Amino acid sequence: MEKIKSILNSLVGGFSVSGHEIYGKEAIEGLASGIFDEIKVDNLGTMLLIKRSGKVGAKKLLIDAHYDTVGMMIKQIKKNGFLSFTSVGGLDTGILPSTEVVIHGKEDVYGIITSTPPHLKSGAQKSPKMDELYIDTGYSKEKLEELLSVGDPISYKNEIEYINGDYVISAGLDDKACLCAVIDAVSRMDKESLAFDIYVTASAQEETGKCGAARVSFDIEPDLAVVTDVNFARDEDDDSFECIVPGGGASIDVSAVTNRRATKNIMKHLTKEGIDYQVVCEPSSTSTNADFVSISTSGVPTVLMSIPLKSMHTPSEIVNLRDIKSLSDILLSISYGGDIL
Amino acid sequence: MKEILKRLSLAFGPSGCEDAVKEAIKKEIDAFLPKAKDVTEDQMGNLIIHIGGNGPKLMISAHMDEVGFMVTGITKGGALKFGTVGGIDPLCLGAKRVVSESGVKGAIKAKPIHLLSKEERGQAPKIKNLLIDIGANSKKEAEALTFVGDYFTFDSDYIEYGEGLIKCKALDDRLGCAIMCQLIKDIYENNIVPCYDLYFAFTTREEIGYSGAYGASMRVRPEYAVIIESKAVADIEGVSEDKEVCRLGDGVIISFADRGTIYDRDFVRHIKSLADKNEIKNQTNRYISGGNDSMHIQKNAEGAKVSTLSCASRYIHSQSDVIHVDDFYATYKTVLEIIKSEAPVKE
Amino acid sequence: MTELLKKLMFTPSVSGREDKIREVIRKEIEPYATEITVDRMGNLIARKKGNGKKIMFCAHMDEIGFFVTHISSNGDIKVSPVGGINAISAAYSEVISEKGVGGIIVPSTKDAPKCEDLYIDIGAKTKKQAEKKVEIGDFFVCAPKFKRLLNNRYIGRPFDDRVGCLALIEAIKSVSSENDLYFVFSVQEEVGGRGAKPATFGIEPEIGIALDVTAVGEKGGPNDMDVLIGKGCTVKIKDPSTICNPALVKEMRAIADKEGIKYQNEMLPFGGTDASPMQIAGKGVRVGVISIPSAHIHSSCEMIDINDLKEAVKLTIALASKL
Repeated sequence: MEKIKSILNSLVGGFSVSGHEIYGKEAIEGLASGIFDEIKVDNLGTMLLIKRSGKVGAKKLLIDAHYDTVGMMIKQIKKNGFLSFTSVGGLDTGILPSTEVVIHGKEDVYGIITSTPPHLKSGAQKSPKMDELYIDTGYSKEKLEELLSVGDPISYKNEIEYINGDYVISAGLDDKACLCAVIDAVSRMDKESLAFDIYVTASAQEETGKCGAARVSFDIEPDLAVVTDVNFARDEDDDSFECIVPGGGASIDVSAVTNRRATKNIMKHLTKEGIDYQVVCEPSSTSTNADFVSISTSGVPTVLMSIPLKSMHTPSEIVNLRDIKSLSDILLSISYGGDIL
Repeated sequence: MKEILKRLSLAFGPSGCEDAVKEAIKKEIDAFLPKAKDVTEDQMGNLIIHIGGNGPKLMISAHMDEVGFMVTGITKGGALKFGTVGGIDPLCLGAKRVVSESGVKGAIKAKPIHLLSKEERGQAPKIKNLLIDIGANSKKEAEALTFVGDYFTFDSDYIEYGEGLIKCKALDDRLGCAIMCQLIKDIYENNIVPCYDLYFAFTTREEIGYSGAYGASMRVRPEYAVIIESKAVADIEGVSEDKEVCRLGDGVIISFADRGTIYDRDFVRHIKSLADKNEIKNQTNRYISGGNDSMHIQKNAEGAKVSTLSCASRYIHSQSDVIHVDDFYATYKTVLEIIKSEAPVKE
Repeated sequence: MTELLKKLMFTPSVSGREDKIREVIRKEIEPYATEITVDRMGNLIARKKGNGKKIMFCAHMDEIGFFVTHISSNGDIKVSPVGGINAISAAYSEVISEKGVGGIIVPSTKDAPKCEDLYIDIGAKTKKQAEKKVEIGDFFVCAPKFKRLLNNRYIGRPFDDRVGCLALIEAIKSVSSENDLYFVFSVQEEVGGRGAKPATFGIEPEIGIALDVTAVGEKGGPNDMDVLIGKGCTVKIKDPSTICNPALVKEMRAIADKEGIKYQNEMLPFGGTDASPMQIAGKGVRVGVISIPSAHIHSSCEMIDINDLKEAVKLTIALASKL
């Protein structure tokens, strides 16, 4: 687990709000060096990391995890050091007041999302609208205009914490928890045993339209794609949604979008190898990169795997490290699985 | 003095559980306690330090407690139900990090936006529906880490940002405690003889209303009382000038009235003239809101002439309590001038 | 009596700013009291020393009004209510500040206004001009009025609680009693009975009697209660803040009956008086209340029957000597 923790620490340390993933490139490059044979960045900011099997005519396995996170962006610089902002990806304004953020301008600027005191509130409490919230930077407008400009990305101020042994709390675990599993898996892959050439995408802009992965997929034309993303963790105290159990291992998602034969073969393979997984159903579509990878080029057989995540899109997302380990084990096993295709 | 503020603010001390803060305070003024006329820790947990001096009795007070959470139940899934200790805006709760008295860390769970129903969207969360996640998979696991009745507070660090702003949890009212610690140091290091029979009261339970100030003021029976506090203001974008209350950076707030107290006019004028004379930046409130221990102290026992000096604070009672460092020093200087100047002459 | 009442009513003194009325009362009672003190909160306490029971009578000097909180750029005065202002009545009322500046209350809405919708126009054209006349923390009250109508009925303001003060003044002037009497003119009643508690704590009386106005159940008003104007003063049984001591209530009635004083039984469904803080001050006090019925309480034009006030004065004097 220490290795997973260390990969995770580096990944969440790099800021990568959708559209600005490139800022986090160094973190990935640092982790990838020595593990992959080749690293490329495409026009949209997606990073392609390749590990070759060395076998002639090897089939291509694409493993995708998105690297971007939700965040915000400066809309206007107001007087007295306040910024109006817009969300990047889906944010619930009901949790934003008093949240701390970092604005990535010429230099990083600390800020706090405003909250109004009780004397300005009356009646039933509503969540504020996004345009009723501001970021308090404590600077004068003049100074701010030196440091920042409209359009600069904003991320949650983050502190990664490990609690009760197996759990981690941090912003951006969607989807860096999966990316962590992917990197951990590839780092353990023995070149000789690989049944595929491995193409890993740390894809951009999943949160804002899922544009990243499908472009690279178009380029690679993989024989099989495994998309990894977080999914809602089952809440033992709230049965209003059916989801995967945190700590119960990674899941294989069954959907009309994903490839039925490849999914079945992977399940069969894992059973044979004695590797546990959970199963979750996303009947029509998955709201992940899998939807778009599956229709890229002339169609790609796509399988979706998930890690359960609590409090998605907040500064305090929670994941069980055992689920990251489980996904890593599954990916490792698949990479050796000549029987899958 | 900022260092004292930092150390005290980071101490754990929700209402009814102020011992760690009290120890931190005692550590700050350790060297001077033996010099005090009397040091009392009373039944309500107040720390009362009698300095003495020449003049009428003056009690300077600040509360040690902060807002927080108490575990009221543990769910079968291992999450913690909680109630707030003191008033906290439910909008400032979702996904915020918390820590227990014994150091168990967690976060308040927030339902992902994707799963919010139409009815839930746009509504502030209800505190009774919120849970703390400490990474426990079952009730049993949670019970190994915490218990019903355990306290949590915001887990938030001390940060200086912008041009002169300070953010931390619990600046309300550790800023008052820090100022009082500094004053005690000043008095003994500079041999100041107060123009009052001076008491400092570090009080408990202000945030819940059933305040330690009752016990402290009944014991001290002051003629004058100065309460050092932080005051919730709204000098933020989108709020009209008359509803801002006060502004950060505009100096110590010398209130004329709030929701709980109409302050003694002569004492307030006396303090304002001291501040003006010593060129200490000061302001008064432009809106009547909030309340503090002065409402209890003013009318307890035979009553007292009260004044509250406060630092304007944004986002009070959240993980991100913000004050301006200049206001902090202005408040300190004003209280020091009060101590060093004769009491106002009786009419 | 009406001259003195008018004088009291025309000395504006909002809660926490009772200094002017205190001086008027002090001058009035000085020759008659054994000792007069002003305590830390500003309560005026007049003692008529005796060897009998320690009895405290209490009427509040303060009245409802407004504090100035902000002066807008156009010279409008933003205010915050002090005490239970009836915003509907206050709208378009004439007001006067502690410094004598006149003005009118204007609601910023066409609907029934709430207190936060009210501001004061003093005729200033600019902020600068307004700031010369008014500063933050000054108070305004609805302009004092005092006028006789038919049947000994008077309209005006603030009857609440200058009628109580008048009753105490009259009692101090004329009572002779064995009892150790304390007459307290309290501060800050209208913001929640803040002054009476420390005064009571210092005095430690056996019995406490508050004098205040009470609402009435007539004049097309909204209150469902039996108390009427012109039927005498009242002996309160309870209101939401106090259950008066039943034995004391009985005694009060017995004394009133014996002295031929007209009184009514009062059950007030809302509000409270200084009896509430008196009752729970220190070790606790047996309390009762004498009320003067008043229509349109807390409006900018209240109404009383002067004969009810006379009965209240009589009952106060009777209780002072006979309890």
